[in-house]
Amino acid sequence: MSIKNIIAPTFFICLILPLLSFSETIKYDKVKLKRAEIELIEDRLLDVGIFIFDPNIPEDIEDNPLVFPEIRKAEARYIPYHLKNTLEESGFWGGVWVLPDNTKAMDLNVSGRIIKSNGYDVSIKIGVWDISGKQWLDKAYKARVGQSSYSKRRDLTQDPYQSLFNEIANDLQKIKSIYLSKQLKRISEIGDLRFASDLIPSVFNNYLVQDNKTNIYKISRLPADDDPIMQRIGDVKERELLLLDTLNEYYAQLYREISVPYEEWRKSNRQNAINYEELKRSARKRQILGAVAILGGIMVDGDSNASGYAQQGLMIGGIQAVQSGFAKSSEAKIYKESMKEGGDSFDSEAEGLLIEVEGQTLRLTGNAQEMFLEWKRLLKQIYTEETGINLKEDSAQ
Amino acid sequence: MPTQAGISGQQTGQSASSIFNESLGDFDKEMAGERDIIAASNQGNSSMTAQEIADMESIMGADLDGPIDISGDFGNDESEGNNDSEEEFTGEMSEEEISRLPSCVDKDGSGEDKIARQLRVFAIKEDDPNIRNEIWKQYLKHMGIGQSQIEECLSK
Repeated sequence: MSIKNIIAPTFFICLILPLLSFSETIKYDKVKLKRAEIELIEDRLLDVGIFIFDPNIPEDIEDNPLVFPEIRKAEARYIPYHLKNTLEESGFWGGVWVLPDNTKAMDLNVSGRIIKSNGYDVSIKIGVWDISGKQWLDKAYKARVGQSSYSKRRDLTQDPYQSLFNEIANDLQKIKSIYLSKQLKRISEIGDLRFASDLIPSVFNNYLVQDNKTNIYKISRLPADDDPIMQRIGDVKERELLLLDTLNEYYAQLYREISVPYEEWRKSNRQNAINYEELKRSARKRQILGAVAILGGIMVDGDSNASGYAQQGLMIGGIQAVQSGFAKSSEAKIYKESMKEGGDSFDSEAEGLLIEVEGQTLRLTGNAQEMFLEWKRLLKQIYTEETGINLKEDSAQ
Repeated sequence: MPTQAGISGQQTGQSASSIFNESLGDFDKEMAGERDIIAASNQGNSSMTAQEIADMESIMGADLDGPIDISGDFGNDESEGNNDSEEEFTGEMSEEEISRLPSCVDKDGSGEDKIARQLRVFAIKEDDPNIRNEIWKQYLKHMGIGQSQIEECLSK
């Protein structure tokens, strides 16, 4: 037997062994939400605004058939709303709102981008800044969702992605716990001044200084507690929160309407995604094994009957493995089609719901914007009337 | 929405401060109206969260492992005689109810969505003419009618 006859099967075995021994133990994430055991004092309660998430819809949607734009847009509203519920449930925060747009009324702003969500794997990038401009968090969260997360016997207030929501909430609480109460109070004061500066920049811009390097705001002076214009600004801020309350009622409506079909979609998509990935992996494995066997067969050399049989066996086995690999690949396509079908169906359902809530949001914010402009004008006029100081036009911080 | 107090205030020579205070009140009313609309549409809405469906199933003694009919109108079964807005509009309207319709509002409710239908029910049922007028205002606004047309319609 030549050296080639020894090397060929050895090479073959070396390539095959890692593929055969491959097995995966899936660990599903279970993160518990940390809850406040006692009611927190007011200074420790920050108001949190969660922007509607970036749905991260790929431009080349044709090349990403398993990303459904309307589902993503619905998730971009559903996920922040559930995060709001989770933060409220933790008891560590003041008011929590979902925000359609930028506002200076919040102490802490949360933004997010959906990286992946198919019912089985979820990945979200989260960024959090306080109103002084300091970044609290910039992290990608991932979770693998188990079948039991979709059980009808579970606590149904818990979303199948609950672990991910809990992890975000726990991280935020952990960061907040580092701050002293007076530091948290200072953040709220900066928030009040930034809100004031947005309304009457020429009066309140110089109450704050922004660091040139870090862009973080610091207070240079504070208005008197009984400053009448600050009290009126507080009235306007209350109206902004009232507007957000109302807008959040619309988001709540969408959340309620979408929660059941969205969960059903995630549940069935999860199973299809698992089957699809499994079959794709199996197909790939068989194709590689087949190719290696064929290669091994080609490399077997010799005139003996044994080497002839070995060569023939490897070649036939290899071809069969490649063929079964292709069969698995076709089977995988069925699950891909099934995911596409299920996604398309929920996609059009979500579209209708989104149009309604977006229409209401635009109408409401459009009307309110006019009101806020009027208040800006009136506040300047009142300031002039009460102090005798004429204000020049300028921009907010 | 915003300029009602402002315009009238400037016409009557009110101070900026009182216009400001008045406009805050107007805004509060506006938001309260908005929340009434949402509450109304929630009442008329058959959608439930998974938790609510599960509660309903357990009350009805249904098998928790059975399929959930998400399209079902839980608690809104017309066959059991529960009144819901759509039913009221498909039925005949009394003369008094017709008299409560502003001239610009279609009797047959064409082009209405769920929210508009609920507002119509509330308006027709409301005995206080001032409150009724406010609800019609919300209705017309929701139907996309301009402010001047609303005022013209309701003044007739």
